[in-house]
This record gives sequence, C-alpha cells and structure tokens, in this order.
Amino acid sequence: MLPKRSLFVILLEIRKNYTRSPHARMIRKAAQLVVFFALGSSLLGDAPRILSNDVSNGHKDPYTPIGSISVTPTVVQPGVRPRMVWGIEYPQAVADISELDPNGTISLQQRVDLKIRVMGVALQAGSTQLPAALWVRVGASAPWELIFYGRESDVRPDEIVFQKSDVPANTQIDFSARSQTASGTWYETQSTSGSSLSVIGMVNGDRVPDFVPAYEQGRIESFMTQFLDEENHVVLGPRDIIHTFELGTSSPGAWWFDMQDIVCMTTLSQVEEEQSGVDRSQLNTDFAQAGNVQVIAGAVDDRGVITLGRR
Amino acid sequence: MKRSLVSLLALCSSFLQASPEEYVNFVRQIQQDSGIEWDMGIRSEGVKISPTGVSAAGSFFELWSIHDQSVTEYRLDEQYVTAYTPNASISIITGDPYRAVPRTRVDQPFQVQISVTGLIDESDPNYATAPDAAKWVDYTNYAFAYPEGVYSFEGEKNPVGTVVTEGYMEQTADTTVTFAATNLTGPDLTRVSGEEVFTITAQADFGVSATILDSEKVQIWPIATGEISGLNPSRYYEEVPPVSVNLENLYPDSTTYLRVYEGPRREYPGKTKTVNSSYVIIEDSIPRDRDLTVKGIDQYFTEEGLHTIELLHRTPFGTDLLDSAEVNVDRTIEINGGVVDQE
Repeated sequence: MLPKRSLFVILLEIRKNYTRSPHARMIRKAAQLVVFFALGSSLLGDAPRILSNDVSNGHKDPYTPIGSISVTPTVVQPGVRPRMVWGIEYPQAVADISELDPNGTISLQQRVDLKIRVMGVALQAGSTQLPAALWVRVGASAPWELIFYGRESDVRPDEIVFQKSDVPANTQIDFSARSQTASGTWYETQSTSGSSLSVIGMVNGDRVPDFVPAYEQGRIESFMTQFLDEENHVVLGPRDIIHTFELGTSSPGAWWFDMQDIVCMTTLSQVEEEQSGVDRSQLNTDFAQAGNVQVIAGAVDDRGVITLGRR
Repeated sequence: MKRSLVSLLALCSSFLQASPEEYVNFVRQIQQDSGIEWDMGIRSEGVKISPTGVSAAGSFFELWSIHDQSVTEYRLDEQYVTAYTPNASISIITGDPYRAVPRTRVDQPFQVQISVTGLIDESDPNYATAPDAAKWVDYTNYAFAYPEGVYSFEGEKNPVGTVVTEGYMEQTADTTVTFAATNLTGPDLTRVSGEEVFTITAQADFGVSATILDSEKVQIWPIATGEISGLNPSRYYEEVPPVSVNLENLYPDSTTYLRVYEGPRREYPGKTKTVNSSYVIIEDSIPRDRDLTVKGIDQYFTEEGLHTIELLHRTPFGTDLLDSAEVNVDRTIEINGGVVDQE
C-alpha cells in the first residue's frame, strides 16, 4: 500500500490533470474512488467520538407511494364508462431527483423547489470570529448570488437564506465560499464548479472523506455533530444535501484541514403543483395550531348522524 | 393477484418509461356482479375513460402501484361507481400541513370529515322495498400500532388492528368526527406510533359483497423526548463545559434547539439567547433520532449567577420544552493564602 501522503498527491493530480469532458470526468471519478478505497479508514488519530445518531435506513419521502383516484360520475347507468383521474407520488430521495458530482455540483433530474440554510460557520483567529461568504449559482451560466455573509454568531440555521421554486430539470446548482483573514483580506474562493478538494457535497449515508483527519479524530464542530453517526456516515433527511467547505490555506490531510469552515444544507422537494394525491392544503383546516379544535364531549360526530353499534 | 401482476408487468413495459422505472401502475376495475377484473396500465398521473362499462351492480375502481424489484404491492386508493348504492368520501384534517399523507402527533386532535350521499330517506315511498345498501352505510374506525422501529405496514397483508368505533349512518349528510387525541393504546402513550383507518362501507346486497365506499388513514407519530447532559446542577462553573443533547422521536417536521437565559427556570424567561450551533432541523417522512455535542456554550453565559438552559422542540403544533438544566456560573478567582505582618 502506498504511503498516505502519496495517495493524496495522486488524488490531487487526478483532479488537476483531467479536463471536464464527460469521459474524462468518468475516469477521474473512477480514479478518485480507487484512491478513496485505497485510503480506507487507515488515517491515524484519536478514537472517534461515539455518537448514536440513527444510521440511515435508506428511506424516502413519502415513505411509501401515495395516490388517489377519482372516477366520475359516481352514479351511472349500467354500461357507462366513467372518467378516471388519478395521480401517484413515489417515494423520493435526492438521488432520485438529482445527481451530485464529486465536486459537489448538483444536477437536477427533474423540476424542484429548493431551499438553502447555513448550518454553521467556524472561523476564527485566536478568539476573534472571522466572517465567511457563501454564493449560489442556479444554472451553469447564471450569475452568482450572495446568500450569506457573516461570522459564527450571525448564523441562524432555522432561517432559509435562499429559496427558489420551480427550478427546471437539467439545471446545475453550484456553491462558492470564501473567508476573510483577520487583516481583512480574502482567502481564495472555493467552489463546487472547480476541482478543489476544499468543498464536498454529501447526502444521507455518505461517509465523510478520509482526507479530513478532523472527522476521524473527533474534532467536529458542534453544528456538525448531529450529521454524523458513530461510523462517520452522514445522517440527513432523504431530500437533504450538505456542502462543507475548507476555506483556509491548509491542504487535504493536514491537521487544520477540517472541512467545517462553513456548512450549508440544501433541501430539494417536488414542485408543489406536481405533487399527486390529495392536495391537503386545499382542505378546510382551521387549526394550524391544532389545540384550537373544539371537541364536542359525548358526541360521535358533530351532526349526530352516526349511530354507534351494528345495525 | 400475483399471476395477474406478473402478466401486467410483462404487458405494461411501455409504461415503465413513464413513471420512476422501479414502479408499475395500473387501475383495476372490478365488476361487482361477475367479479371480472379489468386491469389498465397507467402512467403516474392522467385521465382516461374506464376500461369497460360499469356493471349492473356497479364497479369498484382500485389504483395500484407495484415495486417491480421487491414486488411490494400498494393499493393506493379506491372508488365505487354504481347505479343505485350510496357514495361516500372521507377527508382527514390534522394540524400538520404535510401534503403527502395526513399525519399528526399522538397527543394532537384531528378531524375526520365524512360525506355520504345517495341514501334514500325513510319518508320515501319505496323505502320498505329498497335494498339495505340504499338505506344505510357502516362506519368503522380501526387503530393499528406500528411495532418498534417500523414506520408503515408496507408488505403486510393483514396487520392486526383494534376496533375503536363501529357505527352506521342512515341518512345523506356531511358530518365531522373530532378526536382530542389518537385512539392508539400502549404502555406509554407518548411513544406509540401507527395508523388510524376510517372506512365507510355499503351493505352487501343482491349477490354483491359489502363494498368499501371510501377509506382514509392518518399516521400517528410519538412525542419527541430530549435530554441535556454533562452539567452538574450543584457545581459552580468557572467555564461551562460542552453539553450533550440526546434527542429521540423528533417530529418529521420540526426544529429543535437550545436557549439560555439568566435565572431559574420559569415560564416567561424574558431575554433569551439561542445557541445557534444546536439547531436540529428535520424535514422527513418519519420521526428521527439525533445526538449532538454543543461546545463553546460558555460564550452564552456572560453574567455570573444562576442560568437556565432549555431544550425546545418546534413542530406544526407549537413549541414544547423537552428538557432544561440549571447552571451556576462563578468566574471569581479565589486565591488561597495568608497575610503575614512583619515588623
């Protein structure tokens, strides 16, 4: 087996030397896989921290297929052929609706709604928090849009920093990020549209990259701990993708190369109008806060038309 | 059933391209008098005229989807079309806006809206001679608990359920049944999960078996639990250590996080600080468990004295407190020593 450092060099060379033609990308992907397998989990370090986050069971959303059929009219003379209208929604995960390439670029396979959250920023010089900026580009030739600029304390994970509905199939989604130094200058931009190892996209069940010793050594930022199980597999919802960035100057495999400088989560969902089955949003629900429902004690139903028992 | 499905899989290859390739869909029309079944391969959505004419006793239409690798069959929906029997529709309303399937939490109320049409009235001169199927429909409510670690009855032909309510309706009407909480039972009600199924059935008549007019289910998920650990309430901390958070059964649409405030735990804490590295956001089809370790929490304790950390869980039903811990902060540096007076 080659020494680990040699493997990293090979991996970097593979990334540098191949062009972006489809054939070359396939070769590069295959070569990367070989190197990753060769690396295995042999990086030395402290014993990994034990987490009991649930391991992926590969489920999707919805959990099982759902559908509805409407046949009209419902009362007909014998021999009449009524009209059937139906819709089925299949269980889906991000792998069914998109492709995630080794650089982290998302290529949509179908029309989706997308939303992005920043889950954490971990950059500081001494005790001073440093800012990072995150851009997204929806479409290979679209302009980059700044969706976040701030420090660790500016992160609000429950806020959606970018949302776009009805994004067509075959759209390419890329992310870029960079960080500021204590003196105010900027480090180099890292992007999924490039070939740097400093950004990676992962989905539920993926194993974190072996060229990031921090994961093996338990040096995991608070906001990342929920996303990892005890075997360093990523734990996410079926429609989620996380992108993690290394924004400093260190190289893959180096102690400081922790790939947690900024982390964002993208959620892809089926376009609302294409969702089949009963559109429950159209139902007359007046208890978003369900505690407001008026319960009539002692009555089976509000009209009293259901008689209990068997007739 | 299997034999017809195999032939269907062979016959419907053209439809495989229309839907996700691992599923085959069809509509089955069952003639109620002869029992003859007509299957029509379909795309995942569309509009078509039925395979054949409705029989004298009516026809039952079923929407099916089959996973072609596991051969798991899903009967997704059904509808009855007939010349004389009543019809019914059921809608289930919960506080969760999830579109795919009605779902709620074990402690939350929900409503079942029922609409029955086509029953003849007692004042009708033909009432005495009318078939039973035209006079009343049956209403049933069954509860089915999921075994531990199971999230559907996928592949289960006959899951065992318990009867919650059996009743009947003798008049055309719209009505709503409201439940204060689920009817599932278990040793710990907060942790049960499963389905409640509501069905309206027409009576058997003239050689036609009892017919389901409509049936809907609501999924019931347990109440989340969470625990903060790593802190000793009797200790005074110069620096607050990392805390561990263990979360179980997080609702499929939820946000969970820690917040800190000065003073003892109270209902209206006033000014609070949210720990932004503690957020757990779940958008899923089933409840999930998560563990996290929150480091650097000391920065949220800017004053000395007693503080409270709360673990909050926000769902479509409101925000719940899962756990809390009190922390005493004392950053005073004590120097042990004596003063010697020397002349």
